[in-house]
Amino acid sequence: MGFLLSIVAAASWGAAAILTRLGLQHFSPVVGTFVSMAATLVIIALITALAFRDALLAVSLNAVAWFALIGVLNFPLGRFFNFSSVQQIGVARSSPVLAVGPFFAIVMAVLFLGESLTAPIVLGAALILGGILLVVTSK
Amino acid sequence: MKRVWPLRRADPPSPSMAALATPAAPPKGTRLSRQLVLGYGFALAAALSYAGAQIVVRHTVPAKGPSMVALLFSLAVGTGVLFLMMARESSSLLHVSKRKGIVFLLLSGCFSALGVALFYYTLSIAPVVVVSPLVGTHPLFAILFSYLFLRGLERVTLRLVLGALMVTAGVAVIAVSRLL
Repeated sequence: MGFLLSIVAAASWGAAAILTRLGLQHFSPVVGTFVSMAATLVIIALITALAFRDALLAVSLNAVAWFALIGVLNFPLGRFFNFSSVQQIGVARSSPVLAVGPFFAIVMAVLFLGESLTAPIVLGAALILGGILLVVTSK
Repeated sequence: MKRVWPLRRADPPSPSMAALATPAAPPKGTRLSRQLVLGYGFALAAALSYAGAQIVVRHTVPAKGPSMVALLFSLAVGTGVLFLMMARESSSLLHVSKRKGIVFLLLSGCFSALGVALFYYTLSIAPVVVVSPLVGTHPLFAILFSYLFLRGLERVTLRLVLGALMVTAGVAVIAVSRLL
């Protein structure tokens, strides 16, 4: 069940990317990002209100400030750049590059949080960089 | 040279749409065009922003509430900021000729929400070490769907597929190594 749902989640994001590409034929990335986020917000608000009502009401102001920071990094920056990229080079080229987030997360964790580099991490980073090179040089 | 997609018949051509239209295929030649540089630059900037958010999430969310609650608040703030950013262009949403675009973007948001909701739900019923690499295959689905549904608009090459496979494998290796 977990396997199947994980695949469906991945396929949903794949479908979202395609629909974004089609929608951005009509709008600029900033408008496109807003419209798509408004839909996401409504659905997540419904799910959260139904399934996490108590936790929702118990959130502290301090937590809200952290969540706001996450929101700014993820959406007006992350998703907006994501949509801008899709509009410039298309889904097939932008998706693999967008997926390198964990690579940057590792670099940041090593640089700023003192996490150590292990052999699998180096291998993963090499695969990612090699893959990006292939994508970027694809004609 | 900037190339634009042909506008579809259902959409009457307008200067604003032509300005927003996107390239049909990557420019020929080995030199990266300005458009490719911009596109890859935006993608890297997005990945960097997502990575920054991931770092903050890792060090705050577990102590401050369920992930879905964190997501709701971050979405609300993000949507608010974007509303301010797009205020000048908001009138474009009222164009009748762009209705189809709104439908695509709303559906895109719905699928994003479905993906996130399923991701968090799956994390509650299956080990992260299984879920994380599987969910990380989303670029492969994007390329597959692009090949199936955007044939006239995008070109999927073997090199692109191999590159995406390598990136996905690399992300999976890193994710699993950090969890074990």
